[in-house]
Amino acid sequence: MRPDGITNTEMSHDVTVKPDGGRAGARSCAAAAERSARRSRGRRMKTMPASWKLLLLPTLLLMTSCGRTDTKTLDPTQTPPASVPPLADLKREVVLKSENVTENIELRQLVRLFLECSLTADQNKLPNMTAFWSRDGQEIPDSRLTVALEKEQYGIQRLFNITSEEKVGTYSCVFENKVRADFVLATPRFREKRDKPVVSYVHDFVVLPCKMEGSENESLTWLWFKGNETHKERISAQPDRFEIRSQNLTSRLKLINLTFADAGFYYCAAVYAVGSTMNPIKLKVITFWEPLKPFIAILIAVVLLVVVIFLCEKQQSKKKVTEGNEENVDQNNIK
Amino acid sequence: MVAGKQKSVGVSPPDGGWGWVIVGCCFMVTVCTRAVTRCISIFFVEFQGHFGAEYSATAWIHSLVDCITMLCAPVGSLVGNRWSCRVAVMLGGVLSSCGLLLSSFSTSLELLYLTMGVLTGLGFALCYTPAIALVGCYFQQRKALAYGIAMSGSGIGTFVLAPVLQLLIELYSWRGALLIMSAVVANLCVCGALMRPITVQEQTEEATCGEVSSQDTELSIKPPKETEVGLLPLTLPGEKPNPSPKKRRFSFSRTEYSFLLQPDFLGLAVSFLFLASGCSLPFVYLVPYALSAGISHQHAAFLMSILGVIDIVGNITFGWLTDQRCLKPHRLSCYILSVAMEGLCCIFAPLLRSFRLLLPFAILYGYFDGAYVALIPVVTSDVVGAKHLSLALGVVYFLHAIPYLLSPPIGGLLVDITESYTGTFLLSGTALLASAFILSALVGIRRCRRLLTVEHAPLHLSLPERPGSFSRNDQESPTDTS
Repeated sequence: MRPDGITNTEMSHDVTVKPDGGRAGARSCAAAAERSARRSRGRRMKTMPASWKLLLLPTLLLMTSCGRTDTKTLDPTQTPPASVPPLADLKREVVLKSENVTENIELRQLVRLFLECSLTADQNKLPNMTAFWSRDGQEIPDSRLTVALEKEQYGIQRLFNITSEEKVGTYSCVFENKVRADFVLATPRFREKRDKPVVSYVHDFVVLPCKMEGSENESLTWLWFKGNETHKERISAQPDRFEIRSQNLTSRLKLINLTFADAGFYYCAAVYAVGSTMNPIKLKVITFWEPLKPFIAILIAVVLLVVVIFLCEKQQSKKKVTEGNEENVDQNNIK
Repeated sequence: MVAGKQKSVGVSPPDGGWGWVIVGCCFMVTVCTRAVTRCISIFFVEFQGHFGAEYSATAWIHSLVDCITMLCAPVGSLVGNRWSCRVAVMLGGVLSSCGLLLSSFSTSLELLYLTMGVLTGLGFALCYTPAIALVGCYFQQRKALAYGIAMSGSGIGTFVLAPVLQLLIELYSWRGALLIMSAVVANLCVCGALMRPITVQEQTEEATCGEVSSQDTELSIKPPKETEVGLLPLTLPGEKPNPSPKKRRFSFSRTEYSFLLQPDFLGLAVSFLFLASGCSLPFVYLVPYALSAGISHQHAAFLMSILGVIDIVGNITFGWLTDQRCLKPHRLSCYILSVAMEGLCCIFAPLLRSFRLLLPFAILYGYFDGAYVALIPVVTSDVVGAKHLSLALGVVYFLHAIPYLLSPPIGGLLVDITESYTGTFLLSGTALLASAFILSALVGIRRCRRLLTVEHAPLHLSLPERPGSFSRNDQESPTDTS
């Protein structure tokens, strides 16, 4: 008994792995337009301004043709993005031999997840093998199957609809001989982890940045929290203390007029449809006296050195003057 | 050191003793000025985050400091000449320290331009040229080695200062780091205090380095004419030794800047213009070029560090090399050779598209870059003489300013238009080769002219023929001991 999902995925196989298929066409047009614009810019350096009109015409044609192709590639069955976003399709397959495999899947949106595990047969080459799917360690009911040996492999597939945050977890396919593959679903991780604290001064302002990797036209929702591991408090923009500026893949929290109470951990959360990831940033608030101590120490050393050098030089020149006088006296005596 | 027993006021350059202290001071000055300028870019990330500015807005600070340091070099050399080296360097130290101190309290990017860009740049300009000029006064035989050690400060300083600055920024954020840097830069005052003035005797006339000039006579550096020769080699027309006490002159004297109009110096100046146009581009564009050729980030960063380290090696070893007896008369040829080699390296650079090929490029380019930097003051002093060295160096570094400012953006424009780095490297290579060519042409003309004068007046010339140097060779009198 094969799940219905297989026939569906075969149909939409061409559109898989690229969840934002419709936009690919527009992106290639934009790239072509940019290339031609760059070329025309280069040409502009050498040709006279009158030929700009000649360059405008092909670029206009290019833009209009791009507009037309964009509508063609849009799937008529897909609903326009203004309303409920359609579930994208994501397929992952794993080939198992004798060891367990863990596969990390980064989810940025709600997906229909199609997972496939293929176990390579060992020497025994049993004709049948049982396998089941589990989620977060617990067997999914009615998922145990007996699969037949086909082309030296035992294959098992299942479709999972990841439609909300609760459905995100670790899905595993487990075979009879205890070989398993774990598919760990998670929201994207922050790549730049800052382990050193951000330092700032009392009465000064500080900007805490957060940056997420992703495609350029992705727009995220950002939330900021203050607290510690167990208890976090949501920060809302208060005009005299906090200022949050979020833009697509980056977000900045500006703390104005710092006090010692503002020190501690701050968390920026990138919110996706399938969950959110948090990044901790530590803030340390110090007074100006801290760097002032080494500053004054070095300045005092400098002043002392300069004074000592000048004194030494004066002493040396005095000695030479007295030596010179003595010589003159000697010479006079000799004469 | 002023010898109390001689009646005359001047001494020959000590070539040691207190001279090494001066070299150490010049090393510290180079560390505090050039290395700090290079390390300013470490602050840019902090400024961008704090003030919400773009990279280009913060990059202006570095360009401002560099440009103003070079543009105001004549001011520095003038102050050093009029009053003393000591006064110039201490004043510069105070100014740049104040600039960094004010910038640590700055509340906007524009204020940073003013304090960190203009004020600090002006302070650096007041220190840099007088310090280099003073080294030239204290050394004669080992001048190139002394300059090599002094100029290696920028490389070693960058090497040491970069991680120290990172640590300071992590501990105290950029405000605290700038505050502590201003105290470190205040050490320029200590260097200034150590810079004792010296009155150097050049054969029969005097040139005071680091004190008010007492000479009135023009120092002509033309090939000896028939009327002059016969007294001592290299004496000058109508010249009277003047050991009287110093006269203070506050008006601009035509004689001070007389060296500007000599054809030798003009040729040198034009070649420096080309040199400055070509030399900064590879430093700026090596890493982007390496990345575009498919080299990993770590390898590209390694290339830059290799470049820096070999630069230091080139400074010191080339200085030592050109001080040896066999190479000293050919110092100018060595300089032309190093510039030409650099130009050739740049021309071949676009053909090298892997890490294994770019590594020898980095080594060669770094070595010859260090080599010519150490030789610039030596070559200048060979042409204009120790008396005018301070003012000439000011003009030389002034000529570096505008090409330093303009050539990286022009290189960037070339990269944008041609979408490859070939044009930039070719431009840099041709500028360097042009600089070497101009100088070698000048040497060739000099040699031809000297051969012609030898033909016309064979009896009077008692100078040994020294190919490769201009006319006034190294002021080495026959009585000099090695």
